[in-house]
Amino acid sequence: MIEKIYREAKVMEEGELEGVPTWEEIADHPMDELLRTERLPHIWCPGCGLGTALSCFTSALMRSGLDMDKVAIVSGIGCTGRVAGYLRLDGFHTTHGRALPFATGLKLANDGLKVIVFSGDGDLIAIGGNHFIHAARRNMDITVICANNFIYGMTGGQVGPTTPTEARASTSPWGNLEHPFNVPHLASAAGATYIARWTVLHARRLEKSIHRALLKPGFTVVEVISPCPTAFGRANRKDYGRDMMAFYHENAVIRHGARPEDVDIGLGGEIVCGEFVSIERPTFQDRLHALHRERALSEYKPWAELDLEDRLDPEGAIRYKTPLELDAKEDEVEPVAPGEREGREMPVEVRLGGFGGQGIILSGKIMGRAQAIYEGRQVSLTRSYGPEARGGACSSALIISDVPILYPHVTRPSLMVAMSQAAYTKYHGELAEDGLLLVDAELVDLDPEADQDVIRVPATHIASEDLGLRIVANIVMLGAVAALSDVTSKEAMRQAVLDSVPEGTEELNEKAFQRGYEVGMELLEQRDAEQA
Amino acid sequence: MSKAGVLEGAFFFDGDTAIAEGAICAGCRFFGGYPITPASEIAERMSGRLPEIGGVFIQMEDELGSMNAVVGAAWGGARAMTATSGPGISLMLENIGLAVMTETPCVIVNVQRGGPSTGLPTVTSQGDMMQARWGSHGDYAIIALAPASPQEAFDLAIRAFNLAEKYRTPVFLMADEGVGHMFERVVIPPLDQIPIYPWRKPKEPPSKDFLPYKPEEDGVPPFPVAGTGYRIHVTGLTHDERGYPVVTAEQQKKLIPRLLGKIHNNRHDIIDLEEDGGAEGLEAADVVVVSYGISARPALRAVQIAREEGLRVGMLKLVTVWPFAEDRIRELAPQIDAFVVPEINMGQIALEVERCAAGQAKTIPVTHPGGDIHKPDVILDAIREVAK
Repeated sequence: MIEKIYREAKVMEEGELEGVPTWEEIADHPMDELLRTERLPHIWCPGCGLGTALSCFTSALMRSGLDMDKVAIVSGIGCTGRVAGYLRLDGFHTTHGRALPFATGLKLANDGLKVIVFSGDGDLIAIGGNHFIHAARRNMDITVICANNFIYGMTGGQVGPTTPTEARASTSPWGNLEHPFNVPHLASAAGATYIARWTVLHARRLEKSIHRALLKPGFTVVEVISPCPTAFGRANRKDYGRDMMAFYHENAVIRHGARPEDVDIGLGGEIVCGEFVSIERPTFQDRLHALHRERALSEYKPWAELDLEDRLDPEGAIRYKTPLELDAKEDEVEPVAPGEREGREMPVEVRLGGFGGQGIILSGKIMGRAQAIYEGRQVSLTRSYGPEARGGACSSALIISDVPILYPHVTRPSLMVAMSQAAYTKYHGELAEDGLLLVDAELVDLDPEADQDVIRVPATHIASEDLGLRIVANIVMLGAVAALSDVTSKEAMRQAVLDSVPEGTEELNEKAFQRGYEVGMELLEQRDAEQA
Repeated sequence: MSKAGVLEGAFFFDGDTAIAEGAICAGCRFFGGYPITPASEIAERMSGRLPEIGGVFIQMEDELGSMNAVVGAAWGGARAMTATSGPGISLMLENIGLAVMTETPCVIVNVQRGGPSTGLPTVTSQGDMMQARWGSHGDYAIIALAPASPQEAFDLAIRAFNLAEKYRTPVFLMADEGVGHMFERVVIPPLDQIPIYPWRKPKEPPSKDFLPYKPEEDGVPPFPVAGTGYRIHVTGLTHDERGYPVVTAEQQKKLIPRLLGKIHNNRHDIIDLEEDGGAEGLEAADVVVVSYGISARPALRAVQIAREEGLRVGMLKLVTVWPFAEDRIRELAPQIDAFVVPEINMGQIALEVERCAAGQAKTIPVTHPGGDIHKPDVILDAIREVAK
């Protein structure tokens, strides 16, 4: 098509074809290597500035020295969104507004890539505005080329986030009521490390700024003011590309180092261009690499440093086997011999109740772990708690069984622990007829009308008076449970306590558990004596 | 958190943690997410664990960003996952569509909670089953797996990654608050016993003539991730085998049937069912209870009790919910009296059962608006009623 037009033009001019080079001969342009020439001509209108922006970008990229196999370009939706499709790079034409989070994932998965987002103002600043400020805040190592034509071009000229106040658009036929975003100010406030703005009239300077942005670490932004005669121009009395270029020529002023808050663009006002920001700030990648150096196990190289082949081969480097330091001890413990379990009727339902902050959920996990890991039983633990982070009623409920547990909810517990008045009041009615109820002696007043087998355990008293730390009351209570109930063996429970408590607190918790166990045994003897 | 690599052995985990550990065993090294009850435990676990094994965790600004970061990370060569619930999954659907269209392998965990809107943030539901199937715009096929326990959540997290790689598709892991917050024993086998589907590496070297969307025999193209020299174009627009936008009815006619076909034609590989029909199989039953996820547990209990009462009842558990087990339901319908379908919604999968039964067997939904799981009695009553 273009070849035909070209040849026809030549014929018109020169009257004959002899000596005219063929299209193939003249089309050997230095940028061809980076363009998908088979996709040209592009979709952009006559007078549109995006061709110039693309051209400046391409030559900056060619001068950058980057390995083009390791450069990825990501676009959103709109006229500018088509840029990714014309470049012979790994190119991603994503959804509207989402180029930046896509680019974030891409860059984090392969740090060896140079990732560039090339998209429009509507895409990046309106629907993608949240992603823009957060990518800048994180200082993701990404270069953003934001083409700003003051309007939604592809969809027919609707008002956008950068449309100057009072400018007309198909959805602001009486003039735009809103204030536009000042893109450099937004980027600067959010933390970008490099910010420049040029119109497409400033082709050489634009190319230079893009080149700098590409090579500077961190979130770098180049805003390109680009004419849209078809949509913005027609609605605002600049019908042709040359009218808009003339406007840029008359109204653009170069002011390097201008404060970003001073570079608003008003309708018919000046367009301040230049390099506004160039700062140093640690990138997300810098901190991630530091974290990997600090935390990654010696067997695990940071993901981004692995060869791509290794990363993509799940049988290879990504699945190193390592010695386990955390949970391996669970394996080493011998399960309780079957003989020791005899006499316990299964399944058993257990409810532990209290208020948030007492460690009721942790108690449930300890008891569950004792049974599931050390005694090899089936255990289902469910939890319930209110919306309060502290102080609300909460409960752990366990079913312990020798066969798979189907219905996992406790309905008739035969063992119940109440560590608060609210939990006692709420739950004691559901205790099975011959069930055992342990209550905290200090925190629970018993219902005189309830005819239940209740043992009052001074868990909170022991924790605060004997051990000096009220928060281990739950562990004291678990010791008492191990003594008073045959649901779990003392050894399994003790192991589970040690596995579950924070590092460095094992000694205190073991003491609490032991003290609870002793008190439990005393209470058991007392009861036996009373019953005798 | 103590230092630990890929785990092995017996653990007492909640379903959310089991999913995180399953993903790690499956090679997941990227997690992008946004906090939401009851899925936050997955993000918390991943944030502690991934840096230890050289992986990347990022908390994004919202679920739109999370899903895109996952799609981007997959194209960067990472096995990538996100996890969310309720309102979060609604936000992710836009870009789950992008993953479908661009054939991006990734895993989306939905720890379902009650809806619509903010609904029941802290309690269970299976109300998103149809949303998983149809929620993003346009015609597409999807894979969704439903775990009933923390162990199954671990196992299915691995399977979800394998299916995602094999079929180059997003895969839903449709957990629920019940499974996500329930602690049970989870056994993690040695890594060499965990099957992993490998990267679908392109067989041809990079060239300008490379066709990134030319399918292999099973209808699935290889996966030329960024940075491997293929310099391909990837778009959410309707595209040809070069990956270039071709927005015509003709191209749509070529692309969409292939995208649906790669799931549909491979359904026998994808669909995993657990049948409990006794010695004679489900064909000999009068009533077949069809259920999935946490609902399958009280359902199986009801089946056991019904059998003790002498009723001829079988259980069909849908481990894979999407694609739907149409073939099996069609096969059973003329041989049985009724399907009983308990689920924690107002009857979503029941609609599929009814469609496939096509009037040859009754379909009895046992609905529940959410907030709790069925009591076995309710399901038992439905079985008794229809088996009379």
